[in-house]
Amino acid sequence: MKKTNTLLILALIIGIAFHGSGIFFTLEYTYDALIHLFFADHYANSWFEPWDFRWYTGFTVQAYPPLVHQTIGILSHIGGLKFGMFTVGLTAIVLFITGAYRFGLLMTGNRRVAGYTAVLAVFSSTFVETLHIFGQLPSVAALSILMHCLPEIYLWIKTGKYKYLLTSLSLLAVTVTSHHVTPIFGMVFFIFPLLGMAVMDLAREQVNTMKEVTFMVFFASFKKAFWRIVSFGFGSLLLIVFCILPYWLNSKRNPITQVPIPHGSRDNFLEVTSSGLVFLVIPWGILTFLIPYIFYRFFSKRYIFFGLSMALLTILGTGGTTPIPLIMLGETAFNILTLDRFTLWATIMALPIFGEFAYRMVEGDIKVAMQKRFGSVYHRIIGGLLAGGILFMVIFTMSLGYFRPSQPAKIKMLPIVNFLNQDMHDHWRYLPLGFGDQMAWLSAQTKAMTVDGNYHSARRLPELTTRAIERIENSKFRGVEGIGSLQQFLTVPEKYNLKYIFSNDKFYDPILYFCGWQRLQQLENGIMVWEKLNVPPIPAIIPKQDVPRFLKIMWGVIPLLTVVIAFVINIQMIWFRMLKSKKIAPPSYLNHAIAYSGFPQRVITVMHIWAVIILGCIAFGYYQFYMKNTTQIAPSNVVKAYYDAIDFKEFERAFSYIDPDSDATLAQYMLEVSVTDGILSSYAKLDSIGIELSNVTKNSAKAKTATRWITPLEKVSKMYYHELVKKKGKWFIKPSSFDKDIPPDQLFVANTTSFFNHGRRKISTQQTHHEDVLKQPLLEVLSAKLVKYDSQYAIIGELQNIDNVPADVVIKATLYNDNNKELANFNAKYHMKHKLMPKEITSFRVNFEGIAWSQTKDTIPPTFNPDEFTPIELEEQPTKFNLQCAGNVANSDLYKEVALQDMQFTKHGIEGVLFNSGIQEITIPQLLVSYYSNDKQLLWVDHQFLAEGVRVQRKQVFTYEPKNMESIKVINSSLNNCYINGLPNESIGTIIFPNRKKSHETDQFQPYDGEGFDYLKFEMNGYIGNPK
Amino acid sequence: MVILEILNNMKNILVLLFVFGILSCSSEKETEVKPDKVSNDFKFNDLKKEFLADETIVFISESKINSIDLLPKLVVTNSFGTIIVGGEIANAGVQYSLPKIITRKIGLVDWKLVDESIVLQSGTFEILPNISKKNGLESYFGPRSISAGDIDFSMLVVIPSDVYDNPVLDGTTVELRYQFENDVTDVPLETDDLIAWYNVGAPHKSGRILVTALCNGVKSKELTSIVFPANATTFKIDYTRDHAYADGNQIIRFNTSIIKDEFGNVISDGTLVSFTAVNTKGIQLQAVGLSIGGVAIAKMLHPDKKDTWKVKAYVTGAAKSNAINVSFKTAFDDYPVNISKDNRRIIVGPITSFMNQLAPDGLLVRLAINDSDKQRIETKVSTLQNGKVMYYLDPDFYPDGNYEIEIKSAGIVKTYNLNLDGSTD
Repeated sequence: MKKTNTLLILALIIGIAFHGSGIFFTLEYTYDALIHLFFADHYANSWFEPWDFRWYTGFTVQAYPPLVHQTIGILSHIGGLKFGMFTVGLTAIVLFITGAYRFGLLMTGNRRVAGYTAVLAVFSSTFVETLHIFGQLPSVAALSILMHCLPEIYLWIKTGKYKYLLTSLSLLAVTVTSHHVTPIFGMVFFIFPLLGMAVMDLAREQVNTMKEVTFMVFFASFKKAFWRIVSFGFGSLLLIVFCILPYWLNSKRNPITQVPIPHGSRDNFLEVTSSGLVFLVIPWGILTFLIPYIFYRFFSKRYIFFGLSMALLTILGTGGTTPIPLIMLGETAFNILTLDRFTLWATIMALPIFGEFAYRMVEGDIKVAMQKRFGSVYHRIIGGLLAGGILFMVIFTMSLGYFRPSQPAKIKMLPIVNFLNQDMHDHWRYLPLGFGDQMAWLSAQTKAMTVDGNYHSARRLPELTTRAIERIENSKFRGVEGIGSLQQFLTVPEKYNLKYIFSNDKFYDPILYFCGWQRLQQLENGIMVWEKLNVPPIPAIIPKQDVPRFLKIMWGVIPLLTVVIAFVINIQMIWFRMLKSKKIAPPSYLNHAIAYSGFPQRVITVMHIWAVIILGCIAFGYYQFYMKNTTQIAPSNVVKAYYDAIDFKEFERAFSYIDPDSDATLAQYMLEVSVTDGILSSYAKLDSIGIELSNVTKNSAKAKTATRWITPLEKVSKMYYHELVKKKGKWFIKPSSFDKDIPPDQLFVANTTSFFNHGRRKISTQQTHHEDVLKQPLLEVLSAKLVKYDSQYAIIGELQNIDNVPADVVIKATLYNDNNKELANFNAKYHMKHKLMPKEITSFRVNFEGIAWSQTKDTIPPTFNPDEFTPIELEEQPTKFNLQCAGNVANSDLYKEVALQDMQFTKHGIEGVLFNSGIQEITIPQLLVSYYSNDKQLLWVDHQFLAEGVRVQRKQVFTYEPKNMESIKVINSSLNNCYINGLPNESIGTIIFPNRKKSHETDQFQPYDGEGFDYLKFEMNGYIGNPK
Repeated sequence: MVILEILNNMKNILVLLFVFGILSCSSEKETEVKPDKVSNDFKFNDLKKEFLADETIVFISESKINSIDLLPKLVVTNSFGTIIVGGEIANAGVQYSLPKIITRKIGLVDWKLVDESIVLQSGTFEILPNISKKNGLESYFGPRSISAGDIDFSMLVVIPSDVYDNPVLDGTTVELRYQFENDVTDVPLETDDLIAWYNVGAPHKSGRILVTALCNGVKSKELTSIVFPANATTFKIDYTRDHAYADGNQIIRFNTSIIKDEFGNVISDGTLVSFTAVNTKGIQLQAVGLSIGGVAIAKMLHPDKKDTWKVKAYVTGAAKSNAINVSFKTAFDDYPVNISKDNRRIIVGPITSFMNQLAPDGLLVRLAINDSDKQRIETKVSTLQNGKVMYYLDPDFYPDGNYEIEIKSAGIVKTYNLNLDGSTD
């Protein structure tokens, strides 16, 4: 009668108490957990239907093995989705700890050691990270079950009893249906070495000592076990193919066309230290110090195959630090796989050896050896340090999500869900911005659809698959491609029936405004809702990719069936054991336990040397970190720190870098900061900073600081000059001057015309009542031309709101060739004023953008430039165009009170002043400049954003450099194919504006002696960040 | 699994074959062939050719067939589709009653009596709208807004229907009534091709038109169209300001007279009026005003140097104002410039204004720095504070050498050649 293993029980109690309570505070903030929740929600609502319309304009959930999702889905019917998720999380924790125990027992044959393995598994930093930071539930579950599977496989090879084949295959099937990568790579890295070890043990039983196991003996045993290996191999292959057959068929049908998305695990960890921390230092944790012992044990004869596997995993896990993983995996696999899983497996594989070390350290021969050599106090100190190290790594890892949250603060979804359910808002697609992985949780709670999604392997829209972005939602972190991709969705939202945007990050607001979106309301959770007018609702019938019914049934039935079968088969075994109805021999791996005695002193020496090396590396790294990040230790540090503080809007910190002996006070500084608004101070992210120091003396220096800022609209470069001084060993920045303009009056009066649109006067669940549908405002296209400029085609023109109400204008242009073949279409982006007051005119330009970089995958520019423009590649010469203009009644963003003053033409360009004569602060002013020929015909439309805003009753200077128009070529100026709200342009103009005086417009042109043009026209547009 | 799938497919194919077979048989045999089972004399009694909607329609035959299974079927087709009606055995013989979905829908109805694919008898009748009960009245009026004048109009469309939502017969009278200001006008109409319609022409005055329609004692709801004023006509502009000095700080307000259209209506609120001011250099400055009560106001800053503006305003394409001239007197003629001994520190000011007061803060002072070849190196823009602006030519950026600096403020330009070695030329 064997004793209950107290260490295992202890491990389970601690594990469940610690991780079980921990997941309630961590799991929802992890990268992956909410994605799995979304999938689970899909199964909870439509078990057998693999198509989900809610993401990516439709995708199939057969792109991810379903077991964990389906389990959460089933459990959600008891207590909701999150109940399901936490239950599965708890189950995974139990499976992991017991799996580690069984894996430890299999490897060492010693129950005590296995108990230590289980305890250490609870505190393993790699497990903590995978569960509490990454939230990879399927991966954890699959790995745990794989560990349960390993002893059964071993016993099958060893004994050849069919019941073990059955148990091993049944468990493998569960692994396969939970996660696809784990069993495939698990085969290579776990099962192959295990087979080797089993054969080795067979060979060992043929002879008396391990030393006698020669290659011939091993080969003989291999021949004996050959058919067992083959049958298991075929069985498992069959299971991998059969259990998730729909997955494989889907992969074949929808091959992943996604361009590689950068992942931290592929970085050079020495360069990107944050990736190194997350993907190397944390998973290895305290194991780093034991690497000599781990390899010493793994390269003993019995474990030799594990040793090879371990070495491979360790190397692959180093990502881009060395070129070896790239060479070993090849370009494609390297860019598709996330390499952190290799480190995960390596550290899991090391657990039994770690357990063995702990056993020998606590109560075995290492203790004896160390006490003999260094005395018992030293042994205790080392033991305490190791235990302390383990605890430190656990607490450090757990707190990582707290101190450096990977997600934006938790968003209350209910107001958004209510908004989507209201008033048929879910008849359009929506797009969350700045939600992080919480967008999956939002999707799970609504049936409304989004163009975005959070499982990029399932994407199908070329706008997304050609971009190395995770989500559009966080496009600002992916620089040019991100914002470029976002801009395409924002400019042509009709294509995707995209009408609502939930913005949790005001960074995106300017681009929304200039693409013609308008603020609708702020929800009670602080999320701003933006809407776009003139977007048709989603059609009642939308296409989907169907799969044969038998695949749907397989997908819905097999995963849970594998669990039931595995449960019946394996629990029955335990039942037999418990009832002792049959006398069962102890598993044969228990025979291969080794006696832990006489630990070689050599290894202890090596381990000490290794520990010193590691400690040296840590100390050096810390020193480097300190020197780089201590803010006032060197002149360039203080400038960097100052801009870092400005970038993060930590003005008090920024002020602390200002020379304390200057007369600036914090109050004064804050005042000056608060009055500067504009794209740079409110919507920019510092991209790079170059500091050129001059006049460096011991106590002073001058810094010429070149900054590059990412803004949602374009890249802004700005040069700043600073004087730096050193006082009491610290460097400081001298304060610079600010605008001293004061307006003449304290109090202003302004009368404005405001508009309100009821939406629906009649409260009805039906379509908006006929009488509540406003007439579309009438517009008139005054001129429109197809031109070619710098080998780029564009349609330019002028358009007037000829109605009596303000209009929101959408312009869609289509290009045709001589044979009336459609070549391309696109909408006017920000080369126009989207909101027009009655009788207001706007110039416009429609650029034809291709899907950026779809052709030039390998020449993606490395730096950020949201203004980057990819002209569409046209197969033929466009010669004609069609213009569809739509007006809708606008009632917001109608601020027009900007005057253009003090203009001067200099040889360096046009200098001028914008004066804000109204009562709203203009955050981002925009100039639209139209060029005209000597006969006053429109040639080109250009724009310029001003980096700083215009405050109320104040002025802002600008400089504009006119372009050279000599190369412009007008191809077609016909107004024949211009339509307003679907009606011919001409018919509207002749009725509403029969006696148009053309001279009025041309009278307002500014004569200018330019290169290739003779007149200019300036128009002002402005984004108001905080409308009052 | 695969076998299941095949079996499943087989089943589908069999069903399809079966249906197809029936269809092909029936289409082949649709000719009047002498019946075998049912006697030839199974005929319906004389039928009416016209019914009112919802009137009971029963086909009666005096045939003595007394088994329901042997009864022929009645195939009835109206504009909605086709149904099969089975017969019932009653005292008088056999009767077929048509369901309400047929009897309530107006239009032609075809019927065929069919026995085992043999057509025994066929015919048609018509169902007419039943307006004996209270009817419905759908009405639409649009566009919802029009322009005053003689061209634009809103159209009223009325669709009277019976209680079963059938359109009434052509020629039904509909009374239209519309109101504008104090006038209420009645227009008698008749339905034609299911609807009655009328174009309500725009009046010359802006305001609101209300319309309603009446048919068979049923009234429509109140519908409305807004009459917006027509395009603006020539107007006048004027200005107000606090003083005539070009101090670059005070604000001048331009306003229009009340802008009206050709019929005397005040133009719509929010109409954009653009003001242009051409200065003495021929450069156009701009400001806009949005009209309220026909008056648009635009504000501009006083220039910071002596100037004369020729100001005009436009409602572009429709109307233009008179031109007015606005002159600004210079606030100061000159300002001092002090340059330090090493030529690196340049102080502009103190600048005094028209009453010898310090010029207001915020006046722009530009300092352009050219190298000895008159190539522009940099333009520094600064604003006046307490009457002064200080510039410093940093030796890091301006190493020793010859430079030309150009100071410009309030249109007064001063040029100096600096030798950044200590001496002034």
